[in-house]
Amino acid sequence: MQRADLVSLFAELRTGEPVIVGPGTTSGALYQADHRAPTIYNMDMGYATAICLGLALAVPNERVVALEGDGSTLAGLGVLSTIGRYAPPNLVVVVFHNGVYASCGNGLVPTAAAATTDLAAVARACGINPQHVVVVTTLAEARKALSAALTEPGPWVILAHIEHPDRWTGGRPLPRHDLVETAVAFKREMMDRGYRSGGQAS
Amino acid sequence: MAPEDPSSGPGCARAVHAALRAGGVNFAVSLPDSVLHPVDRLLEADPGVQTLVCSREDEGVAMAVGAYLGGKVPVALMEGSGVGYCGLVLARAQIQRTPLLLLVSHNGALGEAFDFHGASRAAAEGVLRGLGIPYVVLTDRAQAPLLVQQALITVLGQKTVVGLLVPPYLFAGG
Repeated sequence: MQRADLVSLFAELRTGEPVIVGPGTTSGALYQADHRAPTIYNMDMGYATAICLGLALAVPNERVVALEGDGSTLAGLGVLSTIGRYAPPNLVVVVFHNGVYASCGNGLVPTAAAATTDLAAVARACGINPQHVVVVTTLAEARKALSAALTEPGPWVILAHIEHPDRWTGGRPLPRHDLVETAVAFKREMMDRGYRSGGQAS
Repeated sequence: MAPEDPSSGPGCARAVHAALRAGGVNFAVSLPDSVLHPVDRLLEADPGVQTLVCSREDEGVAMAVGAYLGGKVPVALMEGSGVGYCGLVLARAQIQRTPLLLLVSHNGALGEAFDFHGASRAAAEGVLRGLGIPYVVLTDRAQAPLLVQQALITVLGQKTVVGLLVPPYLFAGG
């Protein structure tokens, strides 16, 4: 399964879910596939899932999606235990698992999740419902898992094994909205949905 | 029951809690800490505040960033050592214009008796200074609620992180 195909599938299935994407190629790929306002790209390593956890707990009527890599998931591994603890049913974490540090290296250095660390087992050990920790290796499996995760109570952790290297033509895709404007647009979209923090303009 | 003495540690904790609530705070994430514990407990007991415990402080700040995006007014409570973990996520919070109040135990100058808090002292103010995040030390019990109130005005008005550093004596006693 290629990253681009999985991103396209996610873009097809996504409705209005707020999404935060971790660092690297998945960000640009989603931007190119289907940019929508409640999206923040290239969140710093280890934090996309944690921000989505806080957001999911704040807005229980919205389904919130984190798109992470396996290296980034390892960088913020503790958040899986916090997800297990609070178990927000509206949180979906999709790990694009290629087994290497692709965006922060040359793509030749394997992550611990490539061989020795079983992220699915970690998620289950953190108390996340084992039925909602799903490993997928094909687009058909991914479609089934994502369809469930975007409609049925979670929290969900989908470990999607993708091929490495990515097969892109024209170089690595990049978002054409910078992180400030996406963050502001994200907040504005949430305000328009009624989630206002108070103050002059928030 | 007699009213609590506002000049006592517990009374100050109650006044700070009240100032947080009056300033709009309705989401609190913390990694438990002995100095801030009295305020933590008041927040936990407050049905108007969503309270959560994080696994590490930078995760907690990230959760607070998400909570703000979802319409909450967050406070993150942590020991000074935790701020040491938070450099990157605080930088991101600032770039994204996130209103966030940090309530942080330990500070550079006041009441630090134990050598094992040496790194905490250095980390907290060092990270805040390095990132240009404004902070003040709550030195005086009587003034603490006012500083919380004013810090929250800045937090929301400027969409910035502000740190309030709490010396060990502030909430102690009782």
